[in-house]
Amino acid sequence: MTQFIQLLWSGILNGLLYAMIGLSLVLIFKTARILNFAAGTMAGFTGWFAWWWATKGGVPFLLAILVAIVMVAVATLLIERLTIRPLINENFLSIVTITLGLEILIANLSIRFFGGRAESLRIPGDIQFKNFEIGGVRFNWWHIVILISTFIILAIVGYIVNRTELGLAMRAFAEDKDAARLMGIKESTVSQWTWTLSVTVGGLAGILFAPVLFLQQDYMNIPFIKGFVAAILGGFTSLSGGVLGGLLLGELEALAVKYAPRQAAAALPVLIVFFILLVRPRGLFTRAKAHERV
Amino acid sequence: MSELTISDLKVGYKKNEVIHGLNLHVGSGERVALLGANGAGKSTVLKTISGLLTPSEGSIQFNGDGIGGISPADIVDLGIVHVPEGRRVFPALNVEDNLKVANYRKGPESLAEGFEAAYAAFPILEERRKQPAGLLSGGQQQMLSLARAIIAKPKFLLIDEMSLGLAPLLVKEFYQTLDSLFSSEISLLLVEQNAGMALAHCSRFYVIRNGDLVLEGNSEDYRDDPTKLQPAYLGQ
Amino acid sequence: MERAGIPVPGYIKRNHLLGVFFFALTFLLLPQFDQYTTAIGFILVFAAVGGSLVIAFGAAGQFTLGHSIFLGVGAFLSANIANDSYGWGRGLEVEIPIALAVCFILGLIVGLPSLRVNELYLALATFAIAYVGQQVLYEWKQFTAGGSGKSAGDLTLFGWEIGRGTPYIRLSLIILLVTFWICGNILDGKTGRSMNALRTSETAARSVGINVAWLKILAFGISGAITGLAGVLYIHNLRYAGPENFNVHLSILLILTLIIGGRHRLAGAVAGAVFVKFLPELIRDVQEYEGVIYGGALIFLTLFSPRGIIGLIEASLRIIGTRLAKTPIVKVIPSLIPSQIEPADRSASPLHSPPLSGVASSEKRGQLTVTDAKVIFGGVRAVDGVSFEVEAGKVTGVIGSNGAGKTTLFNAITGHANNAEGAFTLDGVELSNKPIFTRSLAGLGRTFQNLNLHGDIRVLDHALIGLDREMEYGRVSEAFRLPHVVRNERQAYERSAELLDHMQLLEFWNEKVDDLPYGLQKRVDVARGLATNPSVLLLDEPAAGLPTAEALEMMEHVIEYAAHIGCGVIVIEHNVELVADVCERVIVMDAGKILADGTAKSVMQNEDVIAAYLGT
Repeated sequence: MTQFIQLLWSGILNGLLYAMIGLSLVLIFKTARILNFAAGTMAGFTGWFAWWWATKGGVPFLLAILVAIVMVAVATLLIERLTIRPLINENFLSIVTITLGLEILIANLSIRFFGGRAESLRIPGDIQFKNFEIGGVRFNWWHIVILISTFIILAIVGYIVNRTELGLAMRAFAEDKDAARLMGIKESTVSQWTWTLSVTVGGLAGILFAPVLFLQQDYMNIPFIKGFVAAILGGFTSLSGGVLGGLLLGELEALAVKYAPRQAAAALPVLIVFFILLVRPRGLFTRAKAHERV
Repeated sequence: MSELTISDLKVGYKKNEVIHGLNLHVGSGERVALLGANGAGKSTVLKTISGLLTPSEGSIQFNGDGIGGISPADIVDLGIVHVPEGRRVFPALNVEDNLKVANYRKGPESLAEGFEAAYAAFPILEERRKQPAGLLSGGQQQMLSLARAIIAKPKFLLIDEMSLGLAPLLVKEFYQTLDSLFSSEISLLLVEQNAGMALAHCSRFYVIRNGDLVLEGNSEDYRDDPTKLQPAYLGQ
Repeated sequence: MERAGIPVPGYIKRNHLLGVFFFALTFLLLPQFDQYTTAIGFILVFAAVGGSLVIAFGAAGQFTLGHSIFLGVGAFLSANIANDSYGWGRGLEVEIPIALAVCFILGLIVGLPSLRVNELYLALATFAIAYVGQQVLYEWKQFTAGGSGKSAGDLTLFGWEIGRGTPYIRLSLIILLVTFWICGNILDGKTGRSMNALRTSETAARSVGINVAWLKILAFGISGAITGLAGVLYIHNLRYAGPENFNVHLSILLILTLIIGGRHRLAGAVAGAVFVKFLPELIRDVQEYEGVIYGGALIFLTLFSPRGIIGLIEASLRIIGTRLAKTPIVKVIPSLIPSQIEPADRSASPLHSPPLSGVASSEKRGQLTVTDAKVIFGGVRAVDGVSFEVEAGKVTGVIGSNGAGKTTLFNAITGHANNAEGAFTLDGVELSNKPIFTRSLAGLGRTFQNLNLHGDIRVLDHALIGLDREMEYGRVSEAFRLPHVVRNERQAYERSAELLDHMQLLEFWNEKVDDLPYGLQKRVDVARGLATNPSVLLLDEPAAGLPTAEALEMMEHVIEYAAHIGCGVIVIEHNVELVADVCERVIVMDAGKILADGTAKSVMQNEDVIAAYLGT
């Protein structure tokens, strides 16, 4: 029994990672209708950047995280302004190509700046190595930090999207671009803040999970793929669907690793993708829309 | 003051010129109808005024200032409000959020006042304020669309095909409420395919056909028999 | 009449000669670049994949991030065959056909998601396939030996041993040349045209009789097969392959290479391959910054030259060309292209031209029966129980105010409305519930209110895709440009030229449709519909936005052509003058139902009609 709970817990942990990446992908998809292929690399870069400030930059841990996140956010504003915004009325292919270009570019920069070797992110008190037990189930302190932080981050994003003017503008824009513009919503505003929010969430995931995944080249690439499976599970247009999808995927994976043959467990993500895309493209968590005029 | 003057307006999609040199004027507090058959270019004119489209030539002047080509957000700030064709409510957002969006450029102070006015005009919206707008009936969505216009505090209203897809009785009601909803100081440029309705509520009209202005006149001359407009509409 | 200047389809094109020239150049100069042979080998591999993607992506528009899997499967098949693991024999003559066959089938499977999802989701699905494909390759120890990978076997061709280095590269060059020739033939024939049609407007492609679903999968199959072939070249070049090579990054790089080079031309595949694979060799110092260079190049090109490197070159040539054209200059090379097509010389005015060759028919077709058509969605009864019958060869008008349901009725008839009910038969053939392209092949032609033209494609091709259904050659013959393929293509070009001439579009045959003014675009839409040789042609507001005189003239040409081929016409229009002029019968719709049905005159004087139309 305790083993089972341990399994479920590891599933939740991974699920939170996928949920955050999924959320960051859906944020951009909802407004810009594209997949940000650079999401994983940008998240990884942020994790590395925080490490750099904490080690080479000699900055205390929490401040290093803050500086890294802020600088990445500002960089995103620049990137959006220079490379995404000019193409905003072109078809999706152009912007997707840009994100692919960014992916390659940032991955290369990452190796150049941070070295190609694996590193570890030192946390004050080394709590990523400290465990405790409840009823025979082992928990790690850093994982608890992740749990709490993720909930806070998700709650903040939820608040921004559902309770603020900006969030309202983003949601309206995602529904009907022209009608939103008639209400006075500016495309540029929505675009830049959506990208910034999305990359920040991804970056926080990159930092939080750096001790878990270990800082290495492309360490956020596989989470990126899992994150986008999570987004697909949520139909790609539902933010909460993306989060739930992430948690679901985390659990399914944990169970598959334990109870299914190796090849099946490895193929699980693509099986899910195929299933959803072919059988239920709107995802598991969204209701069918009222029919639209052809 | 809310006076609109359009001079020699040309609008095109890519290589096609859709509006070929249009001249139009709406005085302060005037109600003017823009008539014509489907595809004549009426919506295009409104979209160019509200900033969704950019003129290729010609000018649009609001109270003497050129507004051609400025962003839709700036147009809204000037007090020009466009109620688009087909309602265009945000289906997944609830009624309340739909109304909030209309207040986007106004600031939180005017929100409460806006809600009051909207719910007073259309009580059913208050009843359904937490429901997704996509579930409202066509008529209710039109109400929501008009309520959004109220909240936007227009000085100049652009209304596009309010009657589209609605039962005639309902359309009559909407037109009747127009007067109570918007004070007589608000200028109105109304696009309608239903000539009779439009003439009944507007003092002047223009008829567009294939992007050209083909007729303008006073409504009273045609109110008794709108079929006199048939040649202008249909090009005989 | 002027010479239109349409080149007659033949066996050799200008591009072929250019290609052979570069091939010969490279072939001969190869020994000078001995130290670069491996890099050049990779260029050839990437060029081959690029060529296959020109078909799948450039033409058919399928943005795929999963091609690394075909490369991997091809490579491992080669290694296993070379080690005689399957007992099928050894040598390239075995490896290549097997890689082609296996990867073709694999491609058909990988292409399945394209049927259900749009472009972006397809990118996602293929991305997932690439990722999991790599996992599968890792796990499948028998096939790939897992982490250790496999080494390439000896390279033999029909028993001849091919040495490493220059001899192998020369062989690869020849293989690439043949592959490009085949790709070029596919792109020039009906397959290439249909793929370009489906990329630019799926809706319209279906309405012209193209089986979009099958064509999409076929695009994956063909491109997968060629990439599998490239995989064979890959492993012989590197002498080794391991699953770690065939990852998502490679997939992305493969398609980005083509985007950088320019996906609208086979030359783009070469340009991209050279840029991605050769540049780092030349500029060793910056090899560490490969990613920054590629990423940067990609971003730069996307922002400033979406047609890639080749696009930049073409644009420059065009500028130089127009500058040169202004100066007196001698013709450097006489045109190697044989004679040009001339439409039949007609001194008679277009309105009274003799019957057009090959399509005249005295038999009237197009008896359309609509029974209780309904289209209801979201509570709106767009079409509410419409029944009527149109006789063969007649011209019928459909009018009604905005929202009356006219276009929706057309959509129900042609199959574009998803939830249509009712029965539709054409000349006795049941159409109901059949897919759009089947209905089109049965004789149903249509145009669209919003044109749905194939944006970056020439006017001539719009007519050709309509005629493609009558091409009597298979895709394999097309790939090898056999004589009967050329014969069919010539006939198609001639008939297209005649049709365009009749519609007064001939002088614009080479223009991309996006560049034309609106009036001409409308005519292209109609010409495309007529080219399908329909039994009945449904025209949806063909005159919208046109001045009445121009509209009348166009309609007269259309009616005349229709009369020649014996087909009926049903036209939705708002221009009542036009309708009264050309239609023997007019149906008036209002709120989804038929309000009146009779001669134009009687219907116009009908009080209900006037009231409904003017909304009083």
